[in-house]
Formats: sequence, structure tokens, C-alpha cells
Amino acid sequence: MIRTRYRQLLISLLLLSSATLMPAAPRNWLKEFGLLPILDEGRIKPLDSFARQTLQQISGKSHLGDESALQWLARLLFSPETTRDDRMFRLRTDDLVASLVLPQRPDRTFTFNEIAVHFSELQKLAMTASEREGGRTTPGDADAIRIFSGFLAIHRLSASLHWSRPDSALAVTDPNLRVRLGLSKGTPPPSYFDLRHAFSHLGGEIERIRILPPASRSPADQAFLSLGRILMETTEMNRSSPLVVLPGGSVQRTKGVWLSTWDAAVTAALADPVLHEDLVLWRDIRIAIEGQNPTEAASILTRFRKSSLSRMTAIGGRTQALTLEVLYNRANLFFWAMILYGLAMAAVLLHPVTGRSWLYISSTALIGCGFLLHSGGLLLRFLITRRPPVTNMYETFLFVGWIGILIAMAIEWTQKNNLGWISGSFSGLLFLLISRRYAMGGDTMGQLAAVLNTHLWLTVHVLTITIGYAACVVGGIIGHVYLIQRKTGRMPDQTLRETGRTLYATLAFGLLFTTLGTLMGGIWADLSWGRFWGWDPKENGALVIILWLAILFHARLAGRIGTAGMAAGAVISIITVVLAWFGVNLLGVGLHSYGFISEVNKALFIFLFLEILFLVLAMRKVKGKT
Amino acid sequence: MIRRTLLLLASLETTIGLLFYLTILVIAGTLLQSAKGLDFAQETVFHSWFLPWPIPLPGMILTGVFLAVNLLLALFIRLSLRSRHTGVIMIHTGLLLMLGGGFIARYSVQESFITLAAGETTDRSGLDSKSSRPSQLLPFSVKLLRFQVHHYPGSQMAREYESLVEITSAKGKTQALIRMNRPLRVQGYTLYQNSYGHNQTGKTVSTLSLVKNPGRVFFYLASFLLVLGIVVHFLIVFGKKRSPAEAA
Repeated sequence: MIRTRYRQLLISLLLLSSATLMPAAPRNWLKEFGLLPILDEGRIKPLDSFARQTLQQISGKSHLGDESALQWLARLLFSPETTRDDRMFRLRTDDLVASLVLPQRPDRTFTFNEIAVHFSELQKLAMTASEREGGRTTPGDADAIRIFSGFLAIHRLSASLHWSRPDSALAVTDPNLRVRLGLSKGTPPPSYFDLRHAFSHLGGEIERIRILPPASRSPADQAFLSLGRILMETTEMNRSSPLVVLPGGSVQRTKGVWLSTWDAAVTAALADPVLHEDLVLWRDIRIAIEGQNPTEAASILTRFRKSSLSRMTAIGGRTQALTLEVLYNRANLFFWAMILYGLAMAAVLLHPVTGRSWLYISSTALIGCGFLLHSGGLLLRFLITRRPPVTNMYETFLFVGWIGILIAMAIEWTQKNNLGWISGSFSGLLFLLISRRYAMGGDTMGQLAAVLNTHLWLTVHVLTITIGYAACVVGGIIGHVYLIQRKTGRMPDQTLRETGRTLYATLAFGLLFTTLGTLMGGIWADLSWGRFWGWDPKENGALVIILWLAILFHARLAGRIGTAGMAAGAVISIITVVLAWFGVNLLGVGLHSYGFISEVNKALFIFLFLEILFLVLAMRKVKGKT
Repeated sequence: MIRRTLLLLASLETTIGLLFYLTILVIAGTLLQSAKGLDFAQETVFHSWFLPWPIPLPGMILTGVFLAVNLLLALFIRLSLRSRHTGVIMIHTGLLLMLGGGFIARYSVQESFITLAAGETTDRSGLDSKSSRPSQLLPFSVKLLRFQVHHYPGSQMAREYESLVEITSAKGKTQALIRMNRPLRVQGYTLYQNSYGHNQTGKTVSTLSLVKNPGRVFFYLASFLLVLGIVVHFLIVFGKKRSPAEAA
């Protein structure tokens, strides 16, 4: 696992250097393939991302065994029959395994063929699940819906180049008809593409035959009609094919419209030379790959990519974003940042125990490097999506973790006593770990709902409030540290005082930014909807954080609590942040996220339990001490 | 006796107690909202003087009034006009204004809806989006000229909805485009794009919300004071060598 990751890092570094130093280096066909643009879920992305997200949705992983998602997608498109026995579907619940009468397997992974046998049952389950009310759904329901739609998507994807394959169902035996369609004798059966093209010249033929009484139709006429019917059915079946890789054609109806290869094959009648050329290229790519001719495939792919990128640029697409996104996918920067933060945490915890100064230096270096990778990842995301890095749950974790490190750096800069590095490495590790769970949801750069689609206020409001969250979390971690330091009883008072002071300042910073963020949110709401406050759960969550911090500061001012009380309060402030952040999202339980939400719920309860346990243990000696 | 009562009312302990109680109200209201809907939660908790239980516990409004009294007294009694309190005084004045604005908003905000198909005109708005409840007369009339939904390419996800409207009032006719997050303000009313749908005849209709909030200015003033106060306070606190924790 780690070794493949390491290889990935090397590859990405090589990619980076080769992209800058040797632009003309020959590429292998898979790399070309991964860089092709596709329109998916309202966003233009490289096929590399599409492959990862598609595989992730059905299997929860970005690899299938030793094979990368991209290699898997290539097989699915170019030789779908080889994927039928891959265990690509991972069910999340035993309920669904049992309902579908699938064999028991510890990892609950199943093949396309295995699911296909029980398809009608799966369809029934998914239908009843989606009709059920939000509150009464089970994790199995969400799983059934996910697997059902995933299965259909895989089915569609594997048929997305069928138009280019010779199809025995389309074989023409009638010699007269063969002449009429311009097919020579002894060739393999025609493909949809061949026939559709031939048919497009014979538009009036069907009408001519239709008005004839059935008795006076020739065998060739009959064959023509039934062939027409098959073509019509195939056309219907392949509407909304997911492989939307053609950035528009050259005639009026196709210009500037993204089309799937099937859309292009269907509209062959429009006689669009650009789309025709595209289809020929895709057919030849398929033939080259099936014929194990990678050089040929690479050169055709390069030709297609050039043509598609130039059309994409013409309709306002940003082609550099595709290269950046592939780089982003391969480099896996957040994973590496997480590892570095983890190592830094180990060093930072060992330092006071062993007293070796090199441990302190190395934790500084590790956090610094982690922070660079972390920042690089955020920067890449910004360059790709061109919007502030906080528009969905996944991104808030990345960003809050990043701000947490910044705050920790400020603390370490002023205090130089390990405290910043402890809280920084811990929060960095924690947030990046959590973010990985949220990355499983599919496209993390997806488009925004209309209501969020304003840049300035979204940016100002969300940035400030997440800075506030980050400060509260870092403050809470310092609260833990304070309580532990105090509990050990061996710390000099000076250390405790320093920790207490840092705690106070961090919480004040948190109160400041949470308040600012909430005010900005109110202004955003007023500008957008004519009201400041609507008692929305998300708003209430932020209000609870503010109220709690206000209580702490007033209680401290009144002398009702000491620094230890403040530290315990800081621990509770983490709980308020976590509840405002997740708890609020959990209130509106949605059907499609149920399976995942219940997992989050469980994690939340465990977290709450542990924190309360910690507080009880840490505060037990308070009375004896003060 | 009066002096002691006033001191008690102005005390930090009262503040802490009220903030605690407010926190519980907010949490309870949020939970209630997820179980019974926003309207119910607003009626029983967020917009009420008393909670509808056998024991007449204060609701959000009454708690707000208590908090305002506590703040006001604290401003006069505890926070003497010393320079190091400048920021704190500004923050608390801001909070008072905020509470006042909230109070005004509670009793004067009017929210109503109009639903129009392209070409239709109205000078009345309904109290809910289905406009089945009694309607009120507006000081202007609204004509929907055009409604459009823009989707993200190749998906059913809406990127933007917009209504082109013509407003006719005593001052004459104007045209304006109302988009998501880009409302129109006319004579104290804010018109924003609420939703869209289809009427009985299958025509696409656009629903606009109309909000009239005379307390708006309070919020902006309060926000301004709060932000300024926070900045001033931090400058004062961090401008000194000694930390606030030690000072306290």
C-alpha cells in the first residue's frame, strides 16, 4: 500500500518535471486517455477523475486490485466483457447481501454478472427504498439505491462504444438490401455506426415501404423495415449515454453542445463532418486497443485530444485545468501531508519524554513540509475549480485543517514550547483523516447549488466562519493539553501558565472569527433574501458556539472559573463546533446519504463519550487541588 | 434594596445564567425544528414570550428582553467610561442594537409571496407560496416578463434562476432582473427569487418572496459596531504587555 503510494509520488514528481522540462516526450496511450475531457455531473473533468469517481462510487476504492481506476475504465469501455467477473461492486450492508441472495463474503464485493442475475430484485428494492419517507429508511435502502444506480451506470458505460462494434443482430442476409446499403459480401456484420450512416441516405425509403400494403413488400423491404426497427430500438436504449466526450460538432445543432459518442452516432443523419471524424477516431482507438497496438492507440488518442481541446477552448473551456487535475489526482498531496503531520505528532510527543532537541527540530520540519503539501493541494484545487476552497463538507475539512496549522504556527512562533506543534500536528492529522471519508462521496469538485453560487459573500462568510471553527478546535486541543499537563502534576507552574495564556488567546481568536463569520452570514442572507436570521440549524449551530465562548469569557471574568475551568470549557467548545458542523447536517437526514450518515452518527457518539470521559477523569482531582 | 437588585440584574452572573438559558433554548428549538418543522419551532420557542408548557418558562423574546436589560444596566453600572473598556462598550452597545433590531423584526417583518406566469401582473401578495391565504395590497404592481432556469451543462442541476420583472408604481415603470442572491429592492420591500414550478395549466411559474424589514438598519449598525468594538478591544488587550488572563 505504502509502496504504491510512494511510487505514485515519484510518478507525480516525474510528471511535474517532465511537463515542465520535456513537453514533447512521447506519452503512452493510457496517459493520453486519462487527460481527455468528459462532461460529467455538470462539470468538465479529465477521464482520470471520472474513472476514479465512478469506481469509488461502486467499490469505495480508487483502485481495483493492482489496476488503477483509469485502466479499469479503459477495459470497461474497450473490452467490457473482460470486466464482467471483476469484483467491482462493494455492498455496505449485510441486509442487501441477504435480500439479493448473494453469497456471503467478508468484504461483500460482487461482480457485474453476479448482480445481473438478481437485477430485477435489486430494482424492486431500490424502487421501494426511494419511495420511502426520509425518516424511515434503513442503511440497506441507501445501499440498494447506490448499487442499483451504480449497476446501471456500469451497464451504460460498457455499452458506450457498442455503436462501433460489428453486431450480428444487424447482419444483413438479403442480397438486394445489402446492395442497397452499400455493404459488400463476406465482410463481418455491420456496426450500428455503419448502418446508421447508410440509413441516413435512405430517409425516404421507410416512408415508401410503410405506405405499401404488407403483401406487396419485397423480402428486401421487410428486412429493411425490421433492420430499421432494431436501429430505432438501439437508438432509444442509448439515449443519455454517460460517455460525454465530444465537445460539439460543426453544424448548427451540434455546435458548442457536449455530446456522448452515442449522441454523435445517433445524429449521424445530421452529416456533421467533425462528429463523423470523432466517431471514426474513437472506433479506431477501440480497434487499436483491442488489437494490442498501444503505439497506434496513443497516436490516435493524441489526434483526438488535440481536436477536442481546441473545440473545448473555442467554447470557453479551460484545458489547462484538465492537466492540473490529473496532476492533482496522481500527486495525492493531502495524503502525504497527513502522513507528515502524523510523523510530526510522533516526534512532538516523544520530545518532552526523551528531551532530544533533534526531535523538536524534526517536528518543525515535518509540519513545515506537510503544510507545504497541504497548501499545494489547496492551491491546485483553487486553480482547477477557480473558486474559494470551501464549498462543500470535504473542502471545509481541508481548509479548517490548514487554518489550524497556521494558527499552530503562530502559537509556536510566539511561544516556542511545543504547544503549537502538538495542537497543529494533531488537528492537521485529524482533519485530513476525516476528509478522506468525505472524499468517498464522489466528485469533490462538483458544481454548486444555485443558492451558493455567489462568490464574494460565500467566500467572506465561509472563510471567516471556518477560521473561527479552526481556532476553537485548536483551542480545544490546547485545553486537552492543559488538563493533561495539570493532571500529571509534574509540570512547572510556568509551563501551565503559558499553556493557559495561549488557550485564552486562541479561544478569543475563535470567538472573534466565529462572530465575524456569523455576522457576514447574516449580511449575506439579508442581501440575498432580505433577512438576517432565520433560525436555520446551521445558523443556530454557529450561535451556540458564540454563546458558549461568551459564557466562558464572562465566567472567567467573574472569577467563577479558573484556567482549568477555561480548559474544560475549551474541550466542550470542540464539542459545540463538531455538533454545529456535523450534528446540524445530521438533523436533515437525507435518503441518499443515510448509510454514510449513520456511520458519522456512530462516530459522533463515540467522540462525545470519549470527551466526556476525558473531562471526568481530568477534572476529578480538581477539588483536592484548588 | 433597589441598589442590590440593580447590581444583581447587572451582574456577570446574571449574564452567564441568561446566556446559558439562551443556549439551551437555541438547542431545544433546533431539535424541535428538525422534528416538527420551522414554523412550529418559531411559534413555540424562537418567536415566543413564554414556552407553552405548564411552567411558564421564558421563551426567546422574553430572554432577549432580560438580556437587553442586563446589558443596559451593565453598560451603566459596571462598564464605566474608561478607555480600556472602549471596545467592550462598543461590542455591548452593538449587541443591544442587535437585540433591538431583532425585536423590531419580530413584530414588523412582513413576508409574503407572489407567484406569476410569464405575462401576468399582480399588485397583491399572498401569505404563503400557494397564495391561497388572504392577500395584501402592495404599493406597486409586478409583471413577470420572462422566467429562465440555467442548468449546468449536461445536468439537471440548476445553476441560476432569474425572473425579468416590470415594476409599476406611482414613480413610473422600471424593469429589473431578479436572480438567485440578486434581489430587487423597491420601496422598502426586498423581492427575491424563491422558487419556480408549474401552475394548473402546466405553465412555468416563478415564485418571488417579498420581505419588508424596517429593522434592517439596526442590524447593519449593530454589525458595524460589533466588528469595530472587537477590533478596538483586541488592539487594547494585545497592545498591552500583560495578558488578560493575568489581569482578570
